Amino acid sequence: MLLKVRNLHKQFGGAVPVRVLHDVNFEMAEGEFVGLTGPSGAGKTTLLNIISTLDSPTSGEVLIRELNVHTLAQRELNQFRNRHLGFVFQDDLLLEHLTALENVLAPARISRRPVRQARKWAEGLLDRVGLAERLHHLPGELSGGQRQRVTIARALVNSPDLLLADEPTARLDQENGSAIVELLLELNRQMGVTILMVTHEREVAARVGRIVGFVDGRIVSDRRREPDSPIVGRLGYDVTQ
Amino acid sequence: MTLPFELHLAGRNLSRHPWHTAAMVGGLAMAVLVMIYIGSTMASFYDDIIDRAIEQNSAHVTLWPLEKPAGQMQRALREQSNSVVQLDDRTSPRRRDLSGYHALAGQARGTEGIIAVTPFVRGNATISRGRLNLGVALIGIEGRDYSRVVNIAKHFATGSVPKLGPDDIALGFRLADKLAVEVGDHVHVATPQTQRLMRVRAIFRSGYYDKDLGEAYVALRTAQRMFAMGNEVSALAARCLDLNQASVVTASLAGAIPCKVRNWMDDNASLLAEIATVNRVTLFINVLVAAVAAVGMANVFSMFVLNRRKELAILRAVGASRGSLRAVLLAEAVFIWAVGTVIGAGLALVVMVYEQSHPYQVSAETYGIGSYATQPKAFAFASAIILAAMTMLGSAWWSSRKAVKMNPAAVIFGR
Repeated sequence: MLLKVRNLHKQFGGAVPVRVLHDVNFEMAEGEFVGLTGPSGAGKTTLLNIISTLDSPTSGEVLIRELNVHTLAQRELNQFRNRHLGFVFQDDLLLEHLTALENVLAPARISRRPVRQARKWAEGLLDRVGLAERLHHLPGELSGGQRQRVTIARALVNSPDLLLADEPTARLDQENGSAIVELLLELNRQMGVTILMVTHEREVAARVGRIVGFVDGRIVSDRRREPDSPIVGRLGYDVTQ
Repeated sequence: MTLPFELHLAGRNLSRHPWHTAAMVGGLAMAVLVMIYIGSTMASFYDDIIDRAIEQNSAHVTLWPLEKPAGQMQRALREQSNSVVQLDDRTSPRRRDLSGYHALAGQARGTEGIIAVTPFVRGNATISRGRLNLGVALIGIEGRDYSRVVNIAKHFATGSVPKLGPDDIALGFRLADKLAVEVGDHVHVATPQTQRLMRVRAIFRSGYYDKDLGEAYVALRTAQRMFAMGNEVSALAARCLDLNQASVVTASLAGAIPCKVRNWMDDNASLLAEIATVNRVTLFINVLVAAVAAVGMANVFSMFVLNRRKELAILRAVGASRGSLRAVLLAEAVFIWAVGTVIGAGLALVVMVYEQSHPYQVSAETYGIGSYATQPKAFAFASAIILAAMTMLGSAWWSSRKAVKMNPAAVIFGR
């Protein structure tokens, strides 16, 4: 298994502590495309943040290739995040003063990869996401869909083991949203990229191979989709409708 | 060539925020300009004081006889009372003050750190013209030798000490004005021992009110005759290779020569104390300027960093270490420091060069100099550059402290 989440609990402190995740157990194989779905406030993004090491669990463990990532020291954690994980956020978070190509190159340069080789790879990725003509454009000169494509290319530049996408289509119109999902599906099929994507859009969830339903910080369903068949989960609704 | 990523990011960030960058560079440049100008002004003032008070008006080291012979007043008091009265009696010249001065001078010349030695006679006299009698200190010197020890040549319009004949006298300009004499006129000079008619050979301008009003130079031999000193002198004056080593030279002379040895620091203790006070004030002002600049820079830089928290969070999310982020911010600070310092130092230099060609006009009557201009001082430049570096790097470190410790998820997701 590429990813194992075991007995994961998360509680946010404060005057009234809030339990966000309750004993979450979950696994993902290499090459899978998993959709994590559920209503707002269910804890999907929190789970993704903990898997991505941007946040830490109250208890439990996250193993990526059998490595318990939350036991790593800060420096090792930085390196791990840089080399093994890719992120696509809800907002197209780009460095506004760097061009599309420079944004994509950023993780590679942080990991001190040879610039020439990384540049060639980054140009190929931008070409792959349909932005070959926009290499030297600043984020401000790109549309919302194009910016999100840049973040996808950036997430892939270090060939990560796992791509984590947090509602990547949430801020996009239907046309651009569909194009982004199509692109992620292609990357999964053609390049074998393992993807865990948070979404609460049924149309999006309906197109991935496996759907994990999440309600009130608990996994309530975990269904694999047969090709061209609708997924009906324990959420009680047909996610393709 | 590819720049390291941190430098690349820093450069891009500064160039994408030109007004912000310009404000920080401009602020630092102004602080550097002020620090250099104040430092140079005070150092120029100090140098000018040292030049006028020490180089032109007193010897670095003087050698006096160990015991002063009793003056007339002390003798009179002793005759009237059995008690011993300690009184510095200036009513009579010190006769036969320093006997065997040739040998002492030779010994002094052989002392490490001394480059020139000259004898002089000093005594009280009156100068008369018409009905006006004025008391003066009559100084007997060997003109050329004396100017090697005390740079009095600058006091004369010709730039050199005139050769004084047996009947020649050089007067301070205030004294000459008061006596209404010019070069070539004659005056009566009287000592307790004798009097003679002397020709005004030159008029000097020392920059010191008392000196210009109350001193006159004659040839050494003439003074010895007028004070009936035979071949003896009042004291020896010596010049050190480094005037700041005068106290060291004084100590070595005091142990080797049977004389009372004094140096310019002893003679100008109050002046030096005042200069030390001025230097402390200058340092305080410079530290104040640096502190104000530091607080300003820290605030501006903090805002600069605060506005970029999301950018820093993205970098952390994609694996940048805290050190890497700190390096970005420090690289920006170094750039602002380098450019701000070059501009500030350049402006300071321009201001001072302008002052050289357009010096401030000041009252020669009051200050002894007709004009004044700040000289560029290396120390002022060096201290301003170092203070600016500390200010900028301190601001960057302080601002980056919290920024690099943030939780990227909290910033990205607004928690």
